[in-house]
Amino acid sequence: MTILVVDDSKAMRMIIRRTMREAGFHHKLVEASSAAQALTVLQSTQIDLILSDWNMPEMNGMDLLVKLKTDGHAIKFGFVTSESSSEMQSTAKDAGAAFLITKPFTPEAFRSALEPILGGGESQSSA
Amino acid sequence: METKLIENAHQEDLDHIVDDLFRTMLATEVTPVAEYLPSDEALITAIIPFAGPWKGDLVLECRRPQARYYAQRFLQIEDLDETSDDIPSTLGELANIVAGNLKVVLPKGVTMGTPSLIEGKDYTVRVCGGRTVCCRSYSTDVGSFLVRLIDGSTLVGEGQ
Repeated sequence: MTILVVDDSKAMRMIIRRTMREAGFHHKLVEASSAAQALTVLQSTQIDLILSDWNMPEMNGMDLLVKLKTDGHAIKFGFVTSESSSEMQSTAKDAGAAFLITKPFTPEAFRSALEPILGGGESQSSA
Repeated sequence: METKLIENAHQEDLDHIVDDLFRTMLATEVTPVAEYLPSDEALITAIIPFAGPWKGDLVLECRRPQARYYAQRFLQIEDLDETSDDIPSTLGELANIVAGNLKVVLPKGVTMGTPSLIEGKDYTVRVCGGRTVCCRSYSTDVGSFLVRLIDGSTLVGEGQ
């Protein structure tokens, strides 16, 4: 299983990578620094889950999710974002997001959101 | 009177958000203090703009060596190079998290922009027509940093 992390902040991509390990998820991770780059990655790599920031320049995370749905992708998608209003929670859910993890987060928050999708503590090679 | 109540509410929200962020993701204790940063030292400033029904900016500012320390704590890297891009990137992300959490208490429909970063000495950040809604300093074991919420809705012809 391969997970794509989409965030314009390199620091946050590093944090997500580390938190995934701390939460017991040792899956293969690939990174994209923009939604456009994520779409490019999807053309050449089989991705099973996308963890995306919401607030990104040009194409934001919601635009990315809508684009994937419009193009017929059935990839599981979750947001990792600093914004967590009930309005955003319901917008994300209505658009087909599986979960929304709010920054600041803990490994427990990742376990709670990802275990229903990935199962618990699966160990695979990490890129 | 009402304005004062709103400012106090923002202060309490900021205190809670900053404390939660630094405890959760940097394992660092913060304490609100009455101390301001000297402009003659090398500083780094991250600014997050708000737009929509309420316009303004969230500003997070600290000395450059502090920013390096926070980046090391945030990324769990022991000896981060002083010129590393990860330092401004981390400060921008910290400001982004504070702004994102604060957005919940701002008027509905407000949108957030991405971080802008300024580094150097002897500079000030001024938002045209802006008014500081609240300004808080927080002490950490490597010095204090500043968080300001600026209301930019008082620009002539806007936000009324």
